[in-house]
Amino acid sequence: MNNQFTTRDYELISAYLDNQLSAKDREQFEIRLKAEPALRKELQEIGKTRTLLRNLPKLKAPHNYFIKVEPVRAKSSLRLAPIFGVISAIASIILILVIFGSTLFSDAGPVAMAPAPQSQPTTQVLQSETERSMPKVVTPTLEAPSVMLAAPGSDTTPPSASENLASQTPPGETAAPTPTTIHIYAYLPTATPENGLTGGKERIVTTQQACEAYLRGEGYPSAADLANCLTPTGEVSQSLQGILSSSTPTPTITASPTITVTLTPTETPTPTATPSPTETPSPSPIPTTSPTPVPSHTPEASLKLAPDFGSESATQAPSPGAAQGASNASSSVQDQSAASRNTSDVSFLSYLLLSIEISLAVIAVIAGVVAIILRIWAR
Amino acid sequence: MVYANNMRYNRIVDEIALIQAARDGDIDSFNRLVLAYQDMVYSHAFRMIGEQESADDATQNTFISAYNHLKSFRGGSFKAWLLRIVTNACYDELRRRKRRPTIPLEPLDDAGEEVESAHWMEDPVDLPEEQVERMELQKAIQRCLNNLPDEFRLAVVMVDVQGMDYMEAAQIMGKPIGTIKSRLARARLRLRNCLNTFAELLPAGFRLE
Repeated sequence: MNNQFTTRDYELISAYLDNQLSAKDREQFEIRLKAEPALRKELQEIGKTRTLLRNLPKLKAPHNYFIKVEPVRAKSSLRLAPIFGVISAIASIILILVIFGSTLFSDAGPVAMAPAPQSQPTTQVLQSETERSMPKVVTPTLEAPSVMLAAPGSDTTPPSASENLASQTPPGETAAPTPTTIHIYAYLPTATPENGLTGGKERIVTTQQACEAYLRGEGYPSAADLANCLTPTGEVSQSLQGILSSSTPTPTITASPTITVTLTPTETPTPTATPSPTETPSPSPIPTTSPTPVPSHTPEASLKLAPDFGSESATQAPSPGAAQGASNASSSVQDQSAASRNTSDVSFLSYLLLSIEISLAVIAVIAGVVAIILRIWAR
Repeated sequence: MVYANNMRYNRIVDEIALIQAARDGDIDSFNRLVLAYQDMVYSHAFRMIGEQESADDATQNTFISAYNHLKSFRGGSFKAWLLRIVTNACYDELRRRKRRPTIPLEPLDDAGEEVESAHWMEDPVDLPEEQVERMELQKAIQRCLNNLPDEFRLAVVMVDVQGMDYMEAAQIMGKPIGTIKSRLARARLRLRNCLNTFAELLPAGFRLE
């Protein structure tokens, strides 16, 4: 059918049908039409097709396509909703990290928490500062931190402590009210139960000597010694504290006096003897302490002192972060006086931490609620 | 005549006012424009795509796009502006449908019947059989349209179904007039051939010879 005609021919036909040919082209085309019946036939058929197309019924829209306003509003609020969701999620994550982190670092009880490497610098500091007359103090052992005890008689530490300990004084846990842990480093490099005992005895002796020397105005005992330089009444400790008000405050220091107080009044042998069997943690006499060794004395003595430092220790107690790790403890051993400042710093830290946690929790909750409300409202 | 011209003039003026109000954010004015043009837009979409559901989607997208881009309408024929948008929407739908495994051919039934009834009322001589034949013819035409390449189909729908002249069609499609003429001629030729094959199946009255 189409073989004899070219594309050009069909374009002419089409344009002719639409009256789109120029006058000249139209004339020429009409002449051709008269001469060629096949062309006429093509024109006719294509003309009919065109007519059919033009007569196609106009379709009606199946429904109205009006624009509604709501989608625009929902868009903007939906855009905001995810932001609040993200804020809430981030605040929650940070909150969890802060809580977990503070728990991790504050809890000195579980021995493992104390980072061993930190002990070395502190003990070294101790060494440098104290011109020690202590014979065996010198090398701090890595295990020293493990000595730290959360509470008297706590079982976690004892096994490791018993092996390594030189002298410790579990902080005045005595009474439940002050869970603070005080850490005093053991200086004995190799501590065995036997060594501990002997070392402890020796230490006590040297400590006493150092105290006496100090009290006579002859020497300057180490902080640990000072802590032990207490009269039965505990007055000396207080006065000493007054003298030594310089600084390095640490909760541990306050606790130690308590402990020592309880211990010193009692005969030295007792503390050494009783504690070691009862409390694994400290083979050394001094540390054993408070709880077991001399129940009668310990509680009273500790209680005596405790009220004095009650504020400090009390503040320490609630804040897990107070017992800051072995490193802090060892450094604090040096300075008693600064204990008060220490505790206030620590309490400030603990309050700061608490306020951070609370604000994070509030942010997380509010942002989450706002995100939910926006999504519901956007619907 | 003057009255008719006045009517047309008023309509145009009204339309300009509606468009201006819609551009200023009046949604009601825009919806009145939608009411005036939705049949035209839907027809164009259906003839281009050949299937009711896709034509419905294309029409909806057209008016949403028109509303969002009202600021870009700089005057002239609002119909031509709309046709450009619906053409793009149809191309999107056609591309989408090509990715699907099957492309069902939709009968004209609903739309066809509605229009047919109007024609029947105009011409009382028409018998139901003629109505059926008319519907069959429309189905055949749509099938032949569907068989065309997209560009050819667009040209013939623009000029023959929508009644645009060559210049307007060239502007909307963004092609030179020569291209439009060529595509139109070839589309009509192919349609003629296609309908002839159908004609052998159709009653004698509808044959093109």
